[in-house]
Amino acid sequence: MTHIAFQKKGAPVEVEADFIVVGSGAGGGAVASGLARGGAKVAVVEAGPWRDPEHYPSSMYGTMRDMFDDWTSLMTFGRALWPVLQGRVVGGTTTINSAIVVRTPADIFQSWEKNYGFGGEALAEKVWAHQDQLEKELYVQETAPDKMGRSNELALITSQKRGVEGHVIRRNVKDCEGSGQCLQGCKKERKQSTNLKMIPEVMERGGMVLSCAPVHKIMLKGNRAVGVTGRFVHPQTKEKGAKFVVRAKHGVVVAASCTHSPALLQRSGIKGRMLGQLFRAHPGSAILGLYDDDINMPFGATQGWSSLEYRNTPGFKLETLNMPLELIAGRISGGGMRLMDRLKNYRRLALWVVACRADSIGTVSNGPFGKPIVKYTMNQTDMAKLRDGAVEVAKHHFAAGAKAVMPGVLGVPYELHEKDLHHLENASLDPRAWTSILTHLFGGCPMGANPDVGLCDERGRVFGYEGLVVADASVMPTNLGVNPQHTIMGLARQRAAELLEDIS
Amino acid sequence: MSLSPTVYVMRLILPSVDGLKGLDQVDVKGFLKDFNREAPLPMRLTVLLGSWAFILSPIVTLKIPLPVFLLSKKLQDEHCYRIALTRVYLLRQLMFAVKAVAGFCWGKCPEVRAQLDLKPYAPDTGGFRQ
Ligand SMILES: Cc1cc2nc3c(=O)[nH]c(=O)nc-3n(C[C@H](O)[C@H](O)[C@H](O)COP(=O)(O)OP(=O)(O)OC[C@H]3O[C@@H](n4cnc5c(N)ncnc54)[C@H](O)[C@@H]3O)c2cc1C
Ligand code: SF4
Repeated sequence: MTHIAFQKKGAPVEVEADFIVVGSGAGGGAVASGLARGGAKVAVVEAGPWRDPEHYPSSMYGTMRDMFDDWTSLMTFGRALWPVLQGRVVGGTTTINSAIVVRTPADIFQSWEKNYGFGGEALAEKVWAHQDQLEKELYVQETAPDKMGRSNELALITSQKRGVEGHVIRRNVKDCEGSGQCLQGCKKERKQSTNLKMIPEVMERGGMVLSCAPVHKIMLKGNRAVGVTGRFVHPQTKEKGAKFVVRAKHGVVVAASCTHSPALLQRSGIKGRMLGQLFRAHPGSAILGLYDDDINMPFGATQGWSSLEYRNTPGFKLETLNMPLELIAGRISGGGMRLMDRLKNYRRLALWVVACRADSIGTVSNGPFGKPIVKYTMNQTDMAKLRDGAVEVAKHHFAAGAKAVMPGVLGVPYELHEKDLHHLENASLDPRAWTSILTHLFGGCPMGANPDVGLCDERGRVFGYEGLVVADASVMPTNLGVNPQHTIMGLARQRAAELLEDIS
Repeated sequence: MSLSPTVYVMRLILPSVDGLKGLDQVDVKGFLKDFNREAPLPMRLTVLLGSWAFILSPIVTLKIPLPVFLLSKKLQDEHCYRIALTRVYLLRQLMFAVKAVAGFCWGKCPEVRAQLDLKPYAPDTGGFRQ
């Protein structure tokens, strides 16, 4: 079992493996564990440090500092500056996500086949088989009723009352204790993020992990990927450490996320018309509801209820989200005494979100200091969807008994009562009026039938190169309309099976 | 204004009210010391720029060409409210950044949490596997 963390400046660290996996999140963890099970020697190279549950922070300040990529400072460049959130730690974004697990809908494989020339039923069957297995491995289950918490319960009862599809979310969490701290990392060790089982399994099977090790470049010999290089970075002091060189006998699998994978490939001189293209997202906005009784967001599954009623038409998803006090302080509009008076109501607030299945497309490129640049603006049709979704969330709150809702949209009054809903229905469609975040990301290294429509083929192999495969969210040419980690993991496990087949 | 601009501004954004402690009763200086040591430079600069923008922008919100520290308490509070909702996008975003960081400081304060009947947070050790 080898784990190499930050190494001070000195002689370079040089290692060799059958496969290198860059990144240890949903894609990286799943592909690496799949390869290791097949007997391959895997080196996982991860930019972030390895934090165990006892190291996880509690406050959101600590979470920004210790768990998120660049303190969540990556913003979309476009009409509006919306934060793009990702993890930077062993386990990647799975460490800080809400653990929601949704199978890839069949229509996704059909749309990939129709529009990008790969996928179809054959791929669907393979991915679903992996998802069957993953669901067992990761203890995918519903949250127990006594751990749901009031906000989730209210949303669930209300969907039954309104006749709107709504369900208890299935999550990769074993016996959730309802501590509402998924975003900070699950200190109770219930959430099955990839750092808990998949990455340790790689080590148990003879692989190695380099943490605090951001890959700067993929090494090429001709058009063959033969390794990766970079320099260790200390997670606290940011001090640059020793150089590392990892060589791969069979191939390099890139799983550094939708923003970092395209940036890394560009930095490494990889050419491809579709590199950095087809970046998509499910931009989300939150609507607060104010209730008469105690909601107590810090208790309950961080996300426990969801509705897929509007996934296809008009194209949005509804979810609950228990948000810590610190984030609510930033989220509630205004400042000064009025803001503080509003914050007194924290315990009576429930926060529910709309995630828009946006058709808008952006790009990702490698910026200065290796930072990705994301260009993305939601078009007016998508903004209308987001607004419709926000209205739907507000209606759900009112049906649940909320006294008022707080949409936080510029130009809409702070507090709306049921009779005032028209203010939200007519809210501006300018993205600048909305506070949205991007948590579900897609594309940047899309798969496609040929280099005109994709950077990679249907097996994630980068066109024109050998031994170079992409296995994270960046390979998806469309968004899903459901939470992505299960699809990413299913595809990644399929990549592992194909790579093992190639070398046998 | 004898304080650093950011401490001064954050205390105005989240002041104490009846029944709830604000940043005037929280160790913002200590928090900012950590923040300035730990946060990436662009983020620190954004917060500093946002603080100065807050101080100098009563002209935008109240049409008063004075820095905020020369205003009455009541006008300071009015400015604080309006600036968060200004139509000038970049200014609003800067304010959002300052407010978000102020929120991190305020929301983790054990006394504030106790007032809202929330459990105190365990320390953020920053530990990792060596
Ligand atoms: C707050 C939040 C909540 C979410 N909740 C859910 C949910 O409940 N359910 C769901 O399905 N999805 C959820 N998601 C989305 C989901 O977690 C991601 O879609 C998924 O983890 C992406 O997988 P990935 O492998 O593409 O990237 P990641 O999981 O982000 O992993 C990428 C890894 O690569 C590393 N890396 C980056 N650059 C380099 C480099 N140069 N060298 C080495 N390593 C590098 C990163 O540090 C990171 O660890 C959530 C996302 C967020 C932000
Ligand atoms: S709600 Fe709490 S116990 Fe449940 S998975 Fe999230 S952090 Fe863990």
